Amino acid sequence: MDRSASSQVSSAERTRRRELLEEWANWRKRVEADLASDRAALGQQLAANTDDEEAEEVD
Amino acid sequence: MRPILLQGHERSLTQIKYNREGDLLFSVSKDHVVNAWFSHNGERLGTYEGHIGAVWTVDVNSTTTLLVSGSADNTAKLWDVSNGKCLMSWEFNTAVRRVQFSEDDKKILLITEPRMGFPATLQIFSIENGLTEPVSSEPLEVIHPQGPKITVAAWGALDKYIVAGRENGSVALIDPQTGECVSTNKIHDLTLTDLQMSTDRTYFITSSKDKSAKIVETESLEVLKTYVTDTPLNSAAIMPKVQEFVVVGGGQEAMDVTRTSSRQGKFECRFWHKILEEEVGRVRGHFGPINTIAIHPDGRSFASGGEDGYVRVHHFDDDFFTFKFQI
Repeated sequence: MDRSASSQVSSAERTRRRELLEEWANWRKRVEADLASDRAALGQQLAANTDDEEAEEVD
Repeated sequence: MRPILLQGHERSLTQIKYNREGDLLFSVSKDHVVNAWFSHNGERLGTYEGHIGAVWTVDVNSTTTLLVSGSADNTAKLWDVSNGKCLMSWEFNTAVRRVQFSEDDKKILLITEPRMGFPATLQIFSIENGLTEPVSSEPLEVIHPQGPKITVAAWGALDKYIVAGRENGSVALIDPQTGECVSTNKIHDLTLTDLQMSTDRTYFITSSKDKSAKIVETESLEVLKTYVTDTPLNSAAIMPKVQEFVVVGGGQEAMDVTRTSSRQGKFECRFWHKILEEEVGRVRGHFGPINTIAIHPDGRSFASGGEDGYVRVHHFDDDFFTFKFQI
């Protein structure tokens, strides 16, 4: 890991890098939120199925 | 960063995998053997013996209780991790090229090769309660994917889709319930050699013989990042923690090489900044192409398996953890 970024990079390049990092962070936020809601929906579905099974046992 | 050399295979490595805790490393090779190692010191925990052909692929479930392996002997085998007992051996018409546990650990997917009139298949088996009850020899689903041969595959987030990578450089989203190909995208010029999911499976990395690796969003199959190298790639992995890096590796077989003078440096694991798409470092050591790369789930070490028959485990130095990419 000997090659670190040079301090000679232009300010345009620095701006580009900052934008890339920001773009990635925003994308991750969106995807993680989508996944969380998908997971919650799936969890509810599973819970509902479990409830049905219990109801059947009672009957 | 002194590597630990795992010497226990007599032929080239085909795949290596850490378990979820990262304390164990599983390796498979053309020598028919599955090995389990302690990742911190490289001592061998045990072997899983029974395959009579090259073992192409291995995976371990999230609780490190079950192991699955796929082989050129046309079988996939399910193993009890703790005692090495073979719990199930599924037989097929052709070799098994890829296996993987689903995110919920209840199923495995496997890919069989097309050969001698047998089409390629993507099959799903239930292995729920596999440790305590006999698992079924019959698949839940057999999918005959249309189009070019599938070389790699993995479960996506929440096991909603299976992502398959094909010989023509395309990736496809397959619905595991219906077997339907939901979407496809040709992202590489040549065959896909590896496909590894991010921790939450919302994106993945591919490696290709076209000398590049790519980060792709699972849901859309959109290419987000590209890493272009000067050598055909056999493996690519995403660092899950510590640094926003990816690690890629490959190299050409000696017999494919025309100019030996340019060989130096081709058998290196290359570290790239995942988001900025810039190479940040290389780790050398193998005497032949790198076939498989895995990264510790905590980002503390990484391991590479080579055509040379060695697994090299590298524990990162302190400066790796404090390294900051200068913006």
